[in-house]
Amino acid sequence: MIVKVQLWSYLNKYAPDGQKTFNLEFGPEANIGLLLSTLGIPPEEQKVVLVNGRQAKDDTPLADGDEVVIFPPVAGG
Amino acid sequence: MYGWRGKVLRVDLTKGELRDEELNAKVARDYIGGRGLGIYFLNRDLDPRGDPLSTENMLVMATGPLTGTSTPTGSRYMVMTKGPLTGALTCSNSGGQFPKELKQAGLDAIVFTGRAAKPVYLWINKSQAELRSAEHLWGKMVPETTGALLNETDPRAKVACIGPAGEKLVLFAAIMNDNDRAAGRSGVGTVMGSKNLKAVVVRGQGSVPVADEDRFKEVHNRVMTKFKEAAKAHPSPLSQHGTIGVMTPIVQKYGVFPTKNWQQGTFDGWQAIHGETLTEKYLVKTRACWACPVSCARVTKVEEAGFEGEGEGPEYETAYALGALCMVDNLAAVTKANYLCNELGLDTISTGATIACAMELYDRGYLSEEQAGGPVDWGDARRLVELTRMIGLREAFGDELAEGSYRLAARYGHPELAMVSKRLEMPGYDPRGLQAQGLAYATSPIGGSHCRAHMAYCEMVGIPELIDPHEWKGKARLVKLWQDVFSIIDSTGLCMFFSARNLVRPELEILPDGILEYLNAVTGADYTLEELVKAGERTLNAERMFLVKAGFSRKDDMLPRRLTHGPLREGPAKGKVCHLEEMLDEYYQERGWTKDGIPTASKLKELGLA
Repeated sequence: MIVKVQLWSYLNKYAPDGQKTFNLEFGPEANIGLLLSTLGIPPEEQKVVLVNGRQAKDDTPLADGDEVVIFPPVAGG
Repeated sequence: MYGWRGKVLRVDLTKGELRDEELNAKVARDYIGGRGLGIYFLNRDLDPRGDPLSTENMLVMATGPLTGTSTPTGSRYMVMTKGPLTGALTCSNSGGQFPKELKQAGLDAIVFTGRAAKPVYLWINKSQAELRSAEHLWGKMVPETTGALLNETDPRAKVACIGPAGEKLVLFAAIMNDNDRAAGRSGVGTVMGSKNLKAVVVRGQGSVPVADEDRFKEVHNRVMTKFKEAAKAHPSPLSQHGTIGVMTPIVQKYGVFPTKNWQQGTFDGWQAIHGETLTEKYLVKTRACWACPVSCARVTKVEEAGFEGEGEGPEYETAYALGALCMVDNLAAVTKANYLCNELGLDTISTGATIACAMELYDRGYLSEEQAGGPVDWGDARRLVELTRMIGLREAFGDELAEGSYRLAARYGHPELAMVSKRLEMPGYDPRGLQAQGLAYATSPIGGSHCRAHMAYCEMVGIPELIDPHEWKGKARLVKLWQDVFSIIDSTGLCMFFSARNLVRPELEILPDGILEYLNAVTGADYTLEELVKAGERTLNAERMFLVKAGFSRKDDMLPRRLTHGPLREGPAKGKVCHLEEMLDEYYQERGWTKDGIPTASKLKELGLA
């Protein structure tokens, strides 16, 4: 399966070649935990993970075509 | 007194008389300052049933005990009055440099009553205050007014004033201070205009006395060391790209970015009005308010033909209202309309939302081209700028828009298209996908505002913890707790951006330990945490009693039907509505109010309000 990934703000340092949006390919039964370890994002890094706009945890399964957005906890408004 | 200056200036505009009132020590302790002090004065001296634009209405400008100290973001003041747009209480908050100058001039608050026969301004020069004629300033835009006043008083003074919008009683006119900072919401500038008060100019001296300098330094070093270490590890996104850079992509991805007058939760043109685009195309520099380590304000310059200008903005709420709500994906136009709002003295949220309401009325055929003096099409960037100017000057169709969404939609027979709570246009977070934010809008004492409890922090970005934005159960308790803490932030004189992250306990209950430490060091008043939290709750209940006496109850704690009965049709929150009625039952119970939203006698007694 192929998922589209975006890493925002300073978390972009984990993106391959610093790309803003990139694709990652996984075998079946991949989940967010696998995606985070593939990118080398340590568990202690504070972050919000969204899969298709819904909050996700490590065990959230991934499906082909999913959009994953990861950003640091920061707010304004 | 330390922190507090112990003095309130009372200005009777009808008689042209000024007098000092001593700040009662118990009142200061119980209500803290700022928003708390404001509601204390309104409840004591104003009949809540009165007409907001009558001579009888009062206008309170109040600082908090931390305003003007070195406490991070201790830059804020609160303007409180009965609001002409809503008929409800209103409190509108601003930072910049003007509020700390008030404190340095030895004032905790100014209370205006009556109405001047001719335009005046208040000049406070250290410990002296006088009313001066402002006839030569009437009709002038905010930058011209500010410049002229600095010339004729003291170039180091700070100015808060209204523009033509406030003079012409546009119902959502702002009070602008330091040119580009706004106490923007629900018509505080309108009330100032109705009183023929053009400006307040103040020059202070010295610093605000602190009770325990050593204790202050210890607290401050600890807080700022932690903050600076975090900033060193990661550059602050809020400093880099402002609120417009932080919030725009997040609301878009969650599908809660109000678009097309709240008919959609996502905006295809979002990247065009994103903060990163602003940084790339128009950012000149960032700007910070007094004592702020964040610098979220954007100083920008636009050179595109037809949209030329320079000034501050836009922030996120402005990009949402003048951009997505109106389907305008032209950042130059959004920024230009923002400049005009600042110059005319208009609230950007209500301006954008009212234009978006007109666009939907026009789109559905309820408003004709003839009635609107031309087409009002979705996404028309030039028309957006033109209508903004016309609102501020009440020109042609702008005169109808100047009454706000509710009156506009009602005039054309479709009040349901006004996206308001208590007639106040809501900020840019869709409650269908953010249940707690919906409850916070509906129960905010001023109507649709995010500043009385910004639930997006926990529902979207995980500050201090991430919670499910689509779940409504259990949200009432959180909203109550957050409202009480935001009331403390507003009363002490701090900014919610810094405080809600750095000066509260990192748990969902966000107990204000950090604020308590600063407050005790500055005032020497030795508040306990329990007492401080109680003070926040007292202010919320005092505000509620003002509303109850003005005729408000559960029937007014409402959201537009579109949000409670019209599911989103696209995006991640597709199919969701806001479960307001269910949350309201829980909320009133948490508050100790009746099912109709009235504080019970025992609750009032507990808080010393009976």
